[in-house]
Amino acid sequence: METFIQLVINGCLNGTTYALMALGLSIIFGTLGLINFAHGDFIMLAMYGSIFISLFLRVDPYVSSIILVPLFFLFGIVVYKGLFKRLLDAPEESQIIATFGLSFVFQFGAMLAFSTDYKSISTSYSAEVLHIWGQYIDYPHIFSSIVALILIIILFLFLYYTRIGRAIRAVSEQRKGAMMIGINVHRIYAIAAGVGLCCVAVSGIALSTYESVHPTIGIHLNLLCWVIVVLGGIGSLIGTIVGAVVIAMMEVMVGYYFETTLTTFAYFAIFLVILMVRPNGIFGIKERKA
Amino acid sequence: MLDIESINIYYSEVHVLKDVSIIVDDREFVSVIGGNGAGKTTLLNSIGGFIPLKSGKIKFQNKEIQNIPAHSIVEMGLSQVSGERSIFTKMSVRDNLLLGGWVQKDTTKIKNLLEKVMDMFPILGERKSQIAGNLSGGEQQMLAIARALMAEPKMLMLDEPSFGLAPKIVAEVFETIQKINESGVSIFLVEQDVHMSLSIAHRAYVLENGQVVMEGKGKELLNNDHVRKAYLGI
Repeated sequence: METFIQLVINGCLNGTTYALMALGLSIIFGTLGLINFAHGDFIMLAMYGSIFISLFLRVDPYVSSIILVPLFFLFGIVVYKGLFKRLLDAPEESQIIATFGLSFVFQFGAMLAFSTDYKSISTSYSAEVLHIWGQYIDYPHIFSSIVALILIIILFLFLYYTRIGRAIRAVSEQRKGAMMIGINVHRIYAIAAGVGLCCVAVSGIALSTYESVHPTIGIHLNLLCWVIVVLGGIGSLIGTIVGAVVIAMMEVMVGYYFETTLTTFAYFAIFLVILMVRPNGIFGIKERKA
Repeated sequence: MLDIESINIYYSEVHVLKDVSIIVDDREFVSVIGGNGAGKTTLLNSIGGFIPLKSGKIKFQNKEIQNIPAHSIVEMGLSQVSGERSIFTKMSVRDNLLLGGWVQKDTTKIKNLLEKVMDMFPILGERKSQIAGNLSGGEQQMLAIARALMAEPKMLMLDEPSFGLAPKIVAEVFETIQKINESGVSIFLVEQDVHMSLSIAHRAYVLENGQVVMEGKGKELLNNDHVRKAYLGI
């Protein structure tokens, strides 16, 4: 029983970071309607960014967010103007191929710049463990989970209670309706891409405090995020969060009771089962085609 | 106020609007009637900045707007209520209205406008926290009109506001449009309900196969033989 509780705690802690990671994808996909297969590689770049900034300035990785988050916001706007904007009305195949291309550029760019070695960072709390109610929880996971949770709350407040947030929701529901009330949709799309990459930046920082990074880590992260978003139900942010916790829970359970190498297999299995029962995801609404 | 000078529009090879010229004066209520596929919606979409012209000019307050993006046209004071209503069905009534005031820079002004619009449409005030998708068809149409008013337009274009509504509700919607016009907003209405729109419009145009075939005072057209035969079935 005690191990089980331990596993549930680990699952929840991993789940919140996964949720933030996947929310970045969910916002970009939900608002722009763009299939972005380079999402994992953006996270990879954020992890490198976190490691290099904190090594260079000798600060905690979380402090590096002061530089990395604004940088990734601008990065999002640049990627929108340079690539995403051209793909908005393109067929899905083109979106997938183009963003796959971007993913390769990032991966090989990272290999050239940082070599294929695994890189990690140690913080003052890297080896610290909290011992509470007979459970052992390591501090990097606790901190990453708290930071992710705070950011998720900020994100929701932003989307539901600010002018720009309302416009993002409006544009994602009705592009033409939004234009009709005077919203410059390209400006909103650019901001949404920027906000999505802010989520990426923070989740990359959080991940870098307990995972080592290498240029191809994005392949795995991309798959993970897509499974979470589709599982939770496309277009539902709450669904994305639930999907993230489900997948994280699966990972730790299967890793402990069966075999760590089976985790990817396991979450794809759960993915298929849930989609068989609810084809539009856990929180997905049936899409009405006009 | 609005000056459309012989515009032509093609959908690939198909000539949809042929040398259409229309004028709407300050505070005027002008309506365009015509059957399905006459090009009415295309006309509105081209004025609103959603469809490019092949030739011709559209002037709003003496400024050419045919190459201006849709969102800037709204900023200039020309708003549109589309046929598909295009309200944000997943968002609350209040959020829809607040978004309608997007072009307003002053937040206190948005608040005042919100109250004014809710006074004008009490039902929207009552349902302000409901999800817009749960409103009835007539209420959704009212919301679409109210949302457009939040931008304080100088001119309002409406595409078939009667579509899919019960006769009693249609009368209410038209009464509202008339009130808006009386408050000083020019109205450009595109309608299939010929009787209703001709009886309240100051002037009207008859659009057939993408061409203006007739123009005149609303009441005059209502008594015109061609109009009576073709659109009123009398």
